[in-house]
Amino acid sequence: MRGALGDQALIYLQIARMLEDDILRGVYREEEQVPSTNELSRCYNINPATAAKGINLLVADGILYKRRGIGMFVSPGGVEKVREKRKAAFCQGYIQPMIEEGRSLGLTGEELLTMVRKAIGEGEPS
Amino acid sequence: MKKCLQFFWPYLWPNVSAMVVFEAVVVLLAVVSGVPQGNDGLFATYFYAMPLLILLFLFMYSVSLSTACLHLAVSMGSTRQFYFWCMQFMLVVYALVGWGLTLLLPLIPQMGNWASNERLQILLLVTGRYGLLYPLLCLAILVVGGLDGLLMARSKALGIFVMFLAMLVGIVGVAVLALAGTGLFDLGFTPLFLPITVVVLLAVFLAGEFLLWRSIRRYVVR
Amino acid sequence: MNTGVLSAKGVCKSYGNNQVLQDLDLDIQPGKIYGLIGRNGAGKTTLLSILTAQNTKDSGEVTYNGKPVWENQDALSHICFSRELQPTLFTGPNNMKIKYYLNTASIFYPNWDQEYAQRLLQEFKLNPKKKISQLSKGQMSMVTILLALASGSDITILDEPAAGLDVVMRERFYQLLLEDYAKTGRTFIVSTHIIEEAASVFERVMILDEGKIIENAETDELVDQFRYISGHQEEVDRACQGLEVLSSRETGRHKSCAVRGGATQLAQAEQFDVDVAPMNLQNVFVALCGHGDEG
Repeated sequence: MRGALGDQALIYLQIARMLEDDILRGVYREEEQVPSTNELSRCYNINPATAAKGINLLVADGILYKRRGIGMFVSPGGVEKVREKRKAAFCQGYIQPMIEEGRSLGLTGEELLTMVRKAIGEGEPS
Repeated sequence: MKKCLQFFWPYLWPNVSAMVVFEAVVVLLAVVSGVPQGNDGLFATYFYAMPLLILLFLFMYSVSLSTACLHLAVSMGSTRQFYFWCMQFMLVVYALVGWGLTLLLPLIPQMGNWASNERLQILLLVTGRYGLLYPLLCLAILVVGGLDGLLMARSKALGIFVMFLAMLVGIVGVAVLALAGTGLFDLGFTPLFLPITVVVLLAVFLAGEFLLWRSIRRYVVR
Repeated sequence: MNTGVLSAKGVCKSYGNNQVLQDLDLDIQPGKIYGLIGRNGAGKTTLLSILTAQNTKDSGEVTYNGKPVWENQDALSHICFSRELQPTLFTGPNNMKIKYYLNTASIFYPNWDQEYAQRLLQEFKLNPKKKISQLSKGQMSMVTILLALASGSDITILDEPAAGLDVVMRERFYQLLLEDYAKTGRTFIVSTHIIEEAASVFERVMILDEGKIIENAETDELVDQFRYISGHQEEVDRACQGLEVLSSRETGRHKSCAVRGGATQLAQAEQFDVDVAPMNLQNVFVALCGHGDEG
């Protein structure tokens, strides 16, 4: 059960990320309920306070909101918010490391761009 | 009180039963082996030495009160003070049981019209003229047993040594009790014998209780 | 629930020449799951038995709700200290039956839940008529866990509950603990040296090292202060400026450091051409307490 969480990143961040992933994938649609802190706690064998922290991150970003007495729900426009958040983090999380890795491999900017274009070309069905 | 009884009951009933059964078996075997007819033998010895054997039981039971039971109670969050008083209650119960069983003994030969012999006379004295010494002796032995249990926790060898010592004292005590009745101490000593022994036993009991109180108050579950 | 704060101030304890606890301070706020971690022999059991008035201290005070715990029946009735069972007592093998052990618990713990105890007995497949001396190490651990959970005490302390359990049972234990916590919100203190598994269960963690509680913090907050920085020796040295370096290893020009610092300082380190990786609780523990052992 715990195997779904890695042990190298703070757990509450992983919880937040997993919920975001699921929202993007359409597992939880707007105005649908997401798992409660107790359910998450039970599922991943983690302290409910940790699960709550992860959920609160998303509440702070406006991705989830609380319906008192019922639980946590995906906000209207929540999917878009996740996408925006990910886009903002995309540069730092993917682009930057890619450029640094390229640099340490000794690739020029042009070689890098060629690789990227090729990959895009392969990825799209023609 | 209720908590106390609840806690000790699973120890109390088998222990008391063991004593009762033991006495019953000894009586039975004595009867079967011809002791009422005056036959001397193994079971005659057992029968007439019963008060002593009871002391042995009591000593053993008391040791467990200050070892396993104490450890269990304190590790479950009991205060030592509470345990001390519970233990006192148990000591009284055991002393009463021991005394009762000893009082019962001479009734059997009397009812069954057993052949009288020296040993029977001695037994009658333990329960007769000097009878009040026996419960005191029980209490003293119980207290010493309790202390010995605490001692054993520190040094098994020393504890066992003290145990043998206590047994010795018990034997001497009962023997003296018996011999006193046969008039061995008639040299003006006999009238003083009773008060002296009472004082000695009381002193042992009170000093023992004081030590017990102090030791239990400082008991530690590491 | 009427739960108070269990606290220790300036507690010292020594056995002969060995100073086990030195000037130890500790506060247990109610309603959380605490982890108490420390190396073998660090004094976890000693600390816990002093907190529960089962062992004596040389100096300092231990209070519950402001009143000393020593011989305080009122305080002790709120606390359950479930310790390792002993298969042998100095008088011989421990012939106490499980049934009796649990019955005794029901006498001393006011919130004892007999039904829950029964269910756990069945789940753990424990025969109540078995004597403690006949149990395997794993079964003894299960009895201590059962006792702790069914006690229903406001503050429940478990000393190395996972020792002797296989990994499947350990996972089940964490599950049961969390379930009970979700239902009752009791305070739990779990001492363990199997750290990483248990880390996700602890809201707060206390690290006992060399007689003192060197850390008492929210698990996440603590762990987030630490990183591994590795790469070219010179670059690593530059990145580590302003950070507390706990340990480092060099092989050739490669250098790897375990560092600690605040959020801004750590962010600065990322600007350099080094690998910055997070540490988990176990790594943090080794970095803090593994001193003197590295060759």
